[in-house]
Amino acid sequence: MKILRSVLMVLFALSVVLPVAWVFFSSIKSNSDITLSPFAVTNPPAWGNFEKAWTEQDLGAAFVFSLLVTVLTIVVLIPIGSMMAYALSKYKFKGSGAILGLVTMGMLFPNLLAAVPLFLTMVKIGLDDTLLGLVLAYVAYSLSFTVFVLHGFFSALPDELGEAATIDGAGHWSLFLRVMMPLAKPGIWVVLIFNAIGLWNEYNLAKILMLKQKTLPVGLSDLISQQQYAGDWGAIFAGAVLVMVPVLTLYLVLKDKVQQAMLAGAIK
Amino acid sequence: MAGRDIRRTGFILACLVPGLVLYLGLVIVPFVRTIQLSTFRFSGLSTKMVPNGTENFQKLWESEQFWWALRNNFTILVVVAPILLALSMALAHAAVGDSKLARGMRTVYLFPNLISLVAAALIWRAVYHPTVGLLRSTGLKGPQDGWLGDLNTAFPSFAVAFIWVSMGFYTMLFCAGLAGIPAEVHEACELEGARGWRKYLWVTRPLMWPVRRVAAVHVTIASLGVFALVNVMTEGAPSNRTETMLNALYRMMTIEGSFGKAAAMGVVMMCITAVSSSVLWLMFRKNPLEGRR
Repeated sequence: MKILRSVLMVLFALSVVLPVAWVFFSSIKSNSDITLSPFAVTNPPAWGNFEKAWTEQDLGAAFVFSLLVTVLTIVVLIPIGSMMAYALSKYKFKGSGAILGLVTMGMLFPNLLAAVPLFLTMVKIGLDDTLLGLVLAYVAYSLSFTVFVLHGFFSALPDELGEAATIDGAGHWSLFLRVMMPLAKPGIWVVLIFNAIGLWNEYNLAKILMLKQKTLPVGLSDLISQQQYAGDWGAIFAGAVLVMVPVLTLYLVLKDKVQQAMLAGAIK
Repeated sequence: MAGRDIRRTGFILACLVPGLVLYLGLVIVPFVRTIQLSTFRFSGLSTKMVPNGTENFQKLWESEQFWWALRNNFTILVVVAPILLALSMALAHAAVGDSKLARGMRTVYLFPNLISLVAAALIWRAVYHPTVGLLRSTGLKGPQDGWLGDLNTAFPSFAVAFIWVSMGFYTMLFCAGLAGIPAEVHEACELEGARGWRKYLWVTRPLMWPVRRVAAVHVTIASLGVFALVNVMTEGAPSNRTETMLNALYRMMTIEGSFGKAAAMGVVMMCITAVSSSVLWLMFRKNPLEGRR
């Protein structure tokens, strides 16, 4: 029984690791080696694939743009999201429950449902195809999850803390910034990591909103559909490595935090 | 007193307004406007919007693409998703625990969930590809047009990729659920001689109700919202065999340029999402263990 369990475990792990590893190996192989000897490791490594992907196919620009979008979105999202979650969890007023419901309801519906009007709105306010437009859309569509998770963390902090601090003369802002935010740090980590990974990988909104400046996932997907006839698999695999490496590195460095973040919406 | 109230209200407003403005303007209003736009004929900004009643919906009704999309999303929801959850539950029973092997394997399981769906789609395109394909290299040649090119194998091949992407996540979820079952319960089972299927059906499964509810919600959203994986793997081909509702919406909007029809597709999807959420809510309304203790 124990052996069966181990076999099952290892089999699925292999089905995950082997294709990913194959992409990594293939990214440093010439196109003919990829087709003719798919499993061999070739010497010398064909680093040229990365050069091609980075410069010729413009994935370098897409990489930098994705990084910028991810960082900017996080910088705007985390303060706005924490303020909303905090106010909705610690200040009960008429309609606070309804607002929370409205904000978290966004998690149920796929964002692309609103693709047509969202695109039209962006054009109307002159932010289509711009960095700012994409960042604002990302912040808006990331709020549901962020507020949902942080609301849980803030609600778990005892109200007496606030009462004690208020007696000591702390105002609303200093109570929030000096007392509550530091205590909600585990929650901030969760939304930070979850959103950073999700935004780096985001495809749907970037695909419909960004026509000229592409993010890395969209750039890679365009490369895949262009190159399917040209057959330049080396550059495609190099592009895939570019999109996977930052996330997998983060995972290896902060394994427990990433696991917690990915399951956070599900398990408290 | 009044000053304190004003300060309190000011604080609440300052906290809520920036987020609410963005959320209302870019999420809620577009969602509502989808309904309005679905009754117009227009393609982008340059063209005039002509009211056309229910014509967009009639066009959807008559298009094969629409019915394949509906059919495929429905199949994912009622066939593929249960298989995914069953496999994850089985794997979770194997991978639960604190042994070094189990912890290491679980680390690996999350990979597909962390990497971009575009990368995952590329991996599976490469696996199934008729000339560079990994499967071809291992001798599984498959149909002449490739696994993803054949009318009969395209959807099942896509389904395998869909399961691969999320199985690790659900396995980790169920592992956490299993690990949360108190040791006394396992001891009691041992004493009573409950093992295997009997233990699962009568003890473990009911105790995992909260986790199963979360998994059901997640898998429903994921099943109805399939986009990137299909868009990059197959673009709905061949002959709509892997078409999904969101990919259809995307194609209507960008390739066909019929914005009104795309909005109508969005409205249909909204209704389906709302109905599915209600069904889920009914199915998981009450924890069967509550009040029975």
